[in-house]
Amino acid sequence: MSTRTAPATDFEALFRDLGPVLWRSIYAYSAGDAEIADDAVAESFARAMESRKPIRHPRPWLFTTAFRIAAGELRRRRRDPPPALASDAEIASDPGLGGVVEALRQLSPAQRAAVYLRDVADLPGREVAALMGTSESAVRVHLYRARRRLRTILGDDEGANDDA
Amino acid sequence: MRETWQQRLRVLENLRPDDGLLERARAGSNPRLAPAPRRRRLLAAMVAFAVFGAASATIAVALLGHEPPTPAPQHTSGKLTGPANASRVYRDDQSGFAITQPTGWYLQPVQSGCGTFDLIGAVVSNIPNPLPQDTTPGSCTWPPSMSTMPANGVVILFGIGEGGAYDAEQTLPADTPVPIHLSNLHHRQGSARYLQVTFHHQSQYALDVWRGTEVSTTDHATAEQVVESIRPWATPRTDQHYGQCLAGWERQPIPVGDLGAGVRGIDALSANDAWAVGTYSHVLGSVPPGPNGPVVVTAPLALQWDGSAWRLVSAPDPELQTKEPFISGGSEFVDVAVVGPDDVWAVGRGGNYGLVEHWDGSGWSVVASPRMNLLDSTLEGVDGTRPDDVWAVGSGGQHGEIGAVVEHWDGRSWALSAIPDVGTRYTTADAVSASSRTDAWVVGEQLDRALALHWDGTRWTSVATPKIRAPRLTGVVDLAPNDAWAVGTSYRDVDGRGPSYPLVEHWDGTRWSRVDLPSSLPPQVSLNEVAAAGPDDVWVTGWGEAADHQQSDIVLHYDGQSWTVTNAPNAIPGLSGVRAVASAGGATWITGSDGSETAYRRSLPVIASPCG
Repeated sequence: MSTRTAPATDFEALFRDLGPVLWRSIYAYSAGDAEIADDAVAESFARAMESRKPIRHPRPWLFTTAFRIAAGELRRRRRDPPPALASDAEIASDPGLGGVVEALRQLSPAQRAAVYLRDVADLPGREVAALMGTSESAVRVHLYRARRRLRTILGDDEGANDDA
Repeated sequence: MRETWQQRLRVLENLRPDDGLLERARAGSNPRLAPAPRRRRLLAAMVAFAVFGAASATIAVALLGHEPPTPAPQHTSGKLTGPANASRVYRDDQSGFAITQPTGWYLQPVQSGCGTFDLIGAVVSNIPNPLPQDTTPGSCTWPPSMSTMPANGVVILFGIGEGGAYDAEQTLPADTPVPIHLSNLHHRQGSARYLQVTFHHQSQYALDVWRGTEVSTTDHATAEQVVESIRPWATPRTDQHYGQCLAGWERQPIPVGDLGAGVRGIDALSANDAWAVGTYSHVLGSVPPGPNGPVVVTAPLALQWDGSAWRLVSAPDPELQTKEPFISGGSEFVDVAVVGPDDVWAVGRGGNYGLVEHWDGSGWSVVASPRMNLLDSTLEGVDGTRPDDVWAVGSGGQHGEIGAVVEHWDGRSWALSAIPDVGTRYTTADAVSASSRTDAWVVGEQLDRALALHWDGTRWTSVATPKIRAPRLTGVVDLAPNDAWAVGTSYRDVDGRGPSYPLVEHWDGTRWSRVDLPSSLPPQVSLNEVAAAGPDDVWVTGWGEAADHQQSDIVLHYDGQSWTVTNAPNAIPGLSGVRAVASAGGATWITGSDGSETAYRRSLPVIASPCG
């Protein structure tokens, strides 16, 4: 195995394969900020292209890099006053993307990313941990909290009384 | 079936990134999005390695797409001279570069490369023949996979390369304790010829490169200097301090190799009979070495204490895959219960399922336990009072659900034990302890309350605990029907963020009440586990954070009258993160980590006992 002169990475194929899930992960992570998602995805690919250091695992590399870039942008934006959170009733009345984004805003960024990768993108817990650059047990905690909150906000088929 | 909230989240799948983003990436990195500091980059790389390093089916990709065109490679040639049993010299014919084999080390010529890159040189190592056999031009075998490097090996490559170059300096943060002060010598971007020093150690590696227009006569001295400066890393760790009594604690040797390990649970029957469990990495001997060397996997770790030493006892890994290209391990033990000398239970996880194994005095074997068709399940705790009365607890769940799981062994089989509906779907059970067939406790967390379930011999009932903000109970010890201790942490908010406060609660037969702890504790404390040798000998582990954010390990002791903060075993150099505790027959053990995890060294467990 060489880490030095394997064939040049086909970024187009990589973008085709990873792009959508990567972009949506960052979109969820930033609670619906398409600008941050654009920035983080383009920037992580740009850094991968510019890196002359061998990148052994482009998939976790791109994800962890993009999450880091997004985290920096979220920090930067924290200086602005946050817009008010929507009420549960408002969220319930918006069945589309708007309601989902408002619900995501009530979670922490890591919780949002974990719940997207695990419950929407259907990736195994181990892989979610690798992509988020964290441990499986941390992912389990994020998921536990995120699912609990989302169930309250967005509803649960089996009756919401038992864990209210 | 997906729940409403999951179906609603799926609206995200309709979103697609703009194809223009790839074009934007090709236009280059955006200075507004300042790169993360170096240290962060290394951590990201380590995470990737930690996850994938153990698998042999690693994929290597070098990003040379943006390299300027390089001239066609021209081989230089080198020779190894000198008697086989003495110090030998490797000399590059073309440049005159030479390296002498240091005493006690090995020198192996290397010729490697493929595509636009060629390398010729020698390897200096403290292990014989560290390189894969196939090092012919075009074989692309250097550097070998990190995960397959021998545990105690240091390998330093001195090579003269031509062709595609890369800048590996950035893989090391500035404060790396490897003596890489030579890193910037003659560094010149873009040069086609350079001397490379590659440093492999303990299945991690660091690279350093310097380049010049040509290799000069000073290189010889430089190379020797590198060998000398790295020599300390070729020997076993020097920070172990076994057998010394340091501020009341003595570290015991643990024979788990050097590839990384962690102890999660420990339990003792007597001063001469204890078990510790966790997970560790080792070379998989049953699979022939691949093109990159031996195969390393992680496996459940079981250690037995016989009164004088810890012994490694092999335990089956139901997750072990030995067929290429998916060679991997991955099961882990989390807790252990010593019911009798020939009756020990270990629980944890294997893949997505809870794992239960039993020691019968001669070996460990997997015992079937309820699978429940659940994903994401782990068994976190185990305790037993008799060969036909053992409890295992944890959590399990499908998409969107995690609930407490309580299982019981009746001497013949494991079965789920019904627990009261306490909003169980979002409940986790963290620990179990039983004093008799008719008295057991399970603790954990449910929504915004602590979970405490009591077994009276017939059924589990939910028992109220003191009303405290966002509590989580992670340890319990049941001494008698009127004497049990539970420990854990209270957080400022339900997300587990913000300050944490210690929770020690006592059961007097009627109710749980929170006890006062010494005021000398730091302002923030989080408690992990509790163990007791008797009502007047109770131990608790945790960690604390001072006002200046200094973190420290915490060990609390109860003597039957009051709680005191005792010396944590932090005098043992490097020890960090005390975790599990066991106490029996006058002996006490506390487990932790040696905190030595670096880019080229994995963390090892520490087990310490009071001394002096």
